[in-house]
Amino acid sequence: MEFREAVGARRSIRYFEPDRPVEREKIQTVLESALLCSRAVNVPWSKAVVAYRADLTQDERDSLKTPFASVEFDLAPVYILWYHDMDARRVAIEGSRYPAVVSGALQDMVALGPPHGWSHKYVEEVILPEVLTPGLSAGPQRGGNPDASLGLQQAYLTAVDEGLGGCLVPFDEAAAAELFHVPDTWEPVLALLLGYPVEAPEAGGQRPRPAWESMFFDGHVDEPFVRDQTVTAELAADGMIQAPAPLPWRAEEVRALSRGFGLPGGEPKTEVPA
Amino acid sequence: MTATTDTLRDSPAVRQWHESYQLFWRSGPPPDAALRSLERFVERCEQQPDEIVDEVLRPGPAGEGLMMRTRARRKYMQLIEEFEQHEGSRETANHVRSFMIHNGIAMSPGILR
Repeated sequence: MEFREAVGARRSIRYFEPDRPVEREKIQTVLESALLCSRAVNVPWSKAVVAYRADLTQDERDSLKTPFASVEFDLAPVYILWYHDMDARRVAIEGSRYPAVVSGALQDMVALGPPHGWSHKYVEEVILPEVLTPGLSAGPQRGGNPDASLGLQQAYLTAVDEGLGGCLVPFDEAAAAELFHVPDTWEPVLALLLGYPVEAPEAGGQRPRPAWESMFFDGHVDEPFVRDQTVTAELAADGMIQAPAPLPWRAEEVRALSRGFGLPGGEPKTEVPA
Repeated sequence: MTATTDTLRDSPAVRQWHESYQLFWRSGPPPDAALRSLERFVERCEQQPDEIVDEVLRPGPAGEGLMMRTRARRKYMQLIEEFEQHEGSRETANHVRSFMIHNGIAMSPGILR
């Protein structure tokens, strides 16, 4: 799959083939892509636990559910529970842990150097004491989701590229901590549920987004960034921009899937009264 | 207290169910069998449909929006499961779940495979 198509084909898939396992090499590929994500000061903020539905009892699966996500945990064969490691900065600083910025690694590998104003002395005597160390005494702090999410999104797109479906859902923090021995310095982000979709990959169409002009600006916020329709057409041809939801067959598809899994909504369609 | 199908139809919660159902599924209202399933359920738990919804969803402290009462939601999830066992029918229980869901009370049963 080409990159543009992978971006365009990503959907929140909520109906998986529950008994079709995901190949371990695909899971590794997903994690490898997350390892390569951009990260502030090269600290490994993202941590993840891979869990398999088949290894959990029904009670254990139920314990992970929330009012916002339930049946998805019964359908997806793989859960990757994503966390923000609130202790990652302290560990990197106190141990001068390679390859975080504090170790000087980015200078050693000529990734960040004098042309951009960076040197070993700048890292050791300015960045470390004035930027990275302040706040450490307050202990682990929540709110690092943006850093941790960079890896998550990369993993998600890679899963699509591998032919998998995915869905991001919240999970019960306490239950996951007990089941998977998660340290209390890990802040939950979301679970990336993975599996082979049993619904059509379009999942009813590309979800509508807010008006382009309300989101992107050119030079200053009074001036919307104007779309070039030639570019838009090219992206559509490459599969990044796809048919918008709802596709006409979607309600019937969901009804049939619900019937198959015994979920609400599976009853035969009734006609609109005359 | 028992409720007849006709009085159920006049219940605001049932009207909400029907309106939301038709909007989502782009179809007519739930089948008559669904209303009869709800009727049997409310008789079994001796609550009116509006009372059930009001027990689970309470107005927020500022008077805006509704707050879900977790314990009450779990109670009705359990009662619906017991109803499913009693009736021997997932479809019948799903009628009641449909009523709850379209009234803003999220729930789903385990999957059948």
